[in-house]
Amino acid sequence: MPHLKDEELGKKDDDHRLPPARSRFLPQLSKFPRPRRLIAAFIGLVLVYQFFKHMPTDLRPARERYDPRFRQQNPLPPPPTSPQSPVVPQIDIPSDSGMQGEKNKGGLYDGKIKLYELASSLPTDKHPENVLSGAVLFAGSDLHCITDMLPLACRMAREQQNHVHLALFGKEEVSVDGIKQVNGIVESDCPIVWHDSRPDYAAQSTDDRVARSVKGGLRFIETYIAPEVIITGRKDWEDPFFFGGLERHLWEVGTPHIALPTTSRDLMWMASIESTALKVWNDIRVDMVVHASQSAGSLVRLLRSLDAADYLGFTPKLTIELPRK
Amino acid sequence: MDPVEASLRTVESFYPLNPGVSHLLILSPDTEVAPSFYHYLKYSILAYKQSARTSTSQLIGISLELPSTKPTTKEDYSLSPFPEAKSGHIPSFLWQAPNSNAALYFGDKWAEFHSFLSHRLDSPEPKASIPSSEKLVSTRYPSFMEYLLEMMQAKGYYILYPSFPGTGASSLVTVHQDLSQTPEEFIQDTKNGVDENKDADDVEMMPPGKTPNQASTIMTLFDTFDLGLPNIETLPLLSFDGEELTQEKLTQQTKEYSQQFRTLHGGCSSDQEGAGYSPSDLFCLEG
Repeated sequence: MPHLKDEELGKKDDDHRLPPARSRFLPQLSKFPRPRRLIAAFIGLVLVYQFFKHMPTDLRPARERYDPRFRQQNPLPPPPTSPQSPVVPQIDIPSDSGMQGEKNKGGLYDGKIKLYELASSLPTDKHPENVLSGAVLFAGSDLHCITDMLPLACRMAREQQNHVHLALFGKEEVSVDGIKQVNGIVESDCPIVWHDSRPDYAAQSTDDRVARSVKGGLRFIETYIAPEVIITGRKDWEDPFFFGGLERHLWEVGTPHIALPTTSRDLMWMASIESTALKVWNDIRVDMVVHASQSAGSLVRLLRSLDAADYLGFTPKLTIELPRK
Repeated sequence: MDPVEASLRTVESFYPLNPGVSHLLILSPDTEVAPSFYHYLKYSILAYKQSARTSTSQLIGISLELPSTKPTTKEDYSLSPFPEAKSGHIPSFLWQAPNSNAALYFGDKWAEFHSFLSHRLDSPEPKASIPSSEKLVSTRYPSFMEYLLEMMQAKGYYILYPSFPGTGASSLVTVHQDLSQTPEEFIQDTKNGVDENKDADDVEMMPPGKTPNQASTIMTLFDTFDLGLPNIETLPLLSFDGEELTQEKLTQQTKEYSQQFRTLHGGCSSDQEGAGYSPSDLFCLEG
């Protein structure tokens, strides 16, 4: 009886108990003179078999796999949606904490982040520190925002004052080529560098996972391109998770950020401004001083016109100096 | 209030917190601004002040107004036709004339004007105030303009003026004349009859105040002109009197003016140049 023999073996060697499924082979093994070594070798073979059986089929380019800088987490086969294991909501751990495994949150994937496409568009070497890159990064997640920024980005690239990059983040599933096609972008007419920094399983991911992928992607772009300034759409037009990740990145790195106050077609003049000037976009202050005369009529006319003006999202200070009398 | 007091009051109404990026926009109550004026200001500040490549230390500000007359006390008010723009960009020119109707002054230059004015009004001989016979700027304008003009001439500074309102494109500001009043520091002079006739003449010369361009952005400008700004060195340069200058001529005039200024108002004598005062110092005062 194989079962009896199996039990005897188990008594003989408690430390190397085999999986029950393999037990029927053991009688043969026990005939050999040095069972311990052979069992160890067998376990080794099983492990090798298991490795090849579960080897990931969605292999990325070698550079991504072997360069740890491009690999946010260790490769693991992620089951994107597995609602069969309802898990108590957990505190999210940022991607850079080294924590393994994935979590489920309302059926959405919250596991390790992999940016498959980003590495292919980044330069091979890190940008040297303390050297101005002359680069301007347009970044976006919402397709409408990206579509809105494209004319400005293309125009800026054509003006040749700055190196213009455009990076896609977030959950949209449209390919870069698709976006180009929809917007009628011709490569020769729009010499910008495109980056696809969307994570794997983007559409099925939790907002927090995507926010972490935004922050992670921006960090790579910072390391390899070091943009002088990041231009995005308006905060209330963009996806909240995009701004969540962006703001965490800006807080850490301190790159100046311009959230376009209005549609980019009204701001096309920005295309001719060089990156060193765009950097102080948010710092420029204009204080207005009016020396009022004794008649109030003209002052009212001035104040009405000042009130009707557009200040690009800023609030200038107005001082009215009244006459002495 | 006398002109000295009024000038001090104006200059002290603003001090830049961060001279590199905080700027002063002086507006007269007669001005009406276009909804897009701030876009133009931001564009010009970024292009001409904050850009490493195009900025120049001699530019002290940006005017929104293209004056229809020169601010001078002389008989000849009219501005000659502007030099043709050499490129398809937004036409502008540089003019060594201050403006009080609608002009932005850069923070660092306004800080310099603070220091200039405090030295200038401290100078013992002759009196700090400028007698009306020596005034170059008409009393239709606030008194600080006279001192600002002195600083501009002594340092070779100029202001960027837009000339596109002159070429048919809509303006960024309108300076109305209907309710215009003489600055309070000069009201007494006007009552005494010094300026009365002059003022009456001026009003007749003014075109009727049109409403400025009501577009909410400056993009309509770029329907007419190319995007981008011309290099500041290629722009036409005018002296206070409206005479066209070359950069060399401006340097020469500045040198002559500043030497004269040093002896007249700076308390310097010709032998002081070796005693720790460089020729660029306009004042040779203790402390």
